[in-house]
Amino acid sequence: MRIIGAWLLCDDGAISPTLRAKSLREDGTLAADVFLLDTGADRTVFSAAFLEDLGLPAHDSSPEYSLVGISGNRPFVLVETALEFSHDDGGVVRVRGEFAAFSDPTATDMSVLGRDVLNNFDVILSRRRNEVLLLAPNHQYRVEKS
Amino acid sequence: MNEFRFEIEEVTDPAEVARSLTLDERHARNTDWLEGHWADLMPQARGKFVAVAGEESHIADTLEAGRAWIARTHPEDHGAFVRYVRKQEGPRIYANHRCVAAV
Repeated sequence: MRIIGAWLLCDDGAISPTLRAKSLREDGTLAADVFLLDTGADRTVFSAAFLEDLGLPAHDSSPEYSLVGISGNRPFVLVETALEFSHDDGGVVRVRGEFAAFSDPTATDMSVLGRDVLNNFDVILSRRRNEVLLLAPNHQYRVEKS
Repeated sequence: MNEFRFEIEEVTDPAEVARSLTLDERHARNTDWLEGHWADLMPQARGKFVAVAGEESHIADTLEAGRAWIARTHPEDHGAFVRYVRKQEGPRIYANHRCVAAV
């Protein structure tokens, strides 16, 4: 399985590795968002805008836990759902579980795909080759000396 | 909460696959459009919310106002979205969204 992302031009001119993911809204329709691939993030976090679009019931996290980023603690909630990713065989894979989501709309401009999801794949980010790839069986990578 | 367990499954229903792929196309149209129009939206969109639908945009003061614009002008566009635009310019460092326990 090969899931293909893209290097996307952002508001500040930076070009960042991203992947489109989808999730079911409360009304049964699908919503999509662009996620920043962040191999330094322990957890995947939905932006408040995506959470609001989904309209899914969310619950507060345990009070002894907080979500800490470079800019400090931000309020967040937890939501039970599944993220869908399209792969290049023409199919769709679903990752189901409990995801974190910012409740402050200004906490982040993009949803973040962290290692809780990325650890299930081999992740290739190559700006030089303009590639963003998530690999799972039956795909693999090989490093060769040219 | 530090246990991140996810189930991964292949979607086998052809109708669900088709729906997902259709949304990819619709959403990509809007994200591609935004990527090509950031220069037109800056700097007035800083600290605000950009709603994108039907390959056009609207700058809103709030997330709710952005959603309302989409509902009013492009209710048929399921690939529409609202995105917050950071106030500050400069490099972003997203790493380490950690869950920490209070002691």
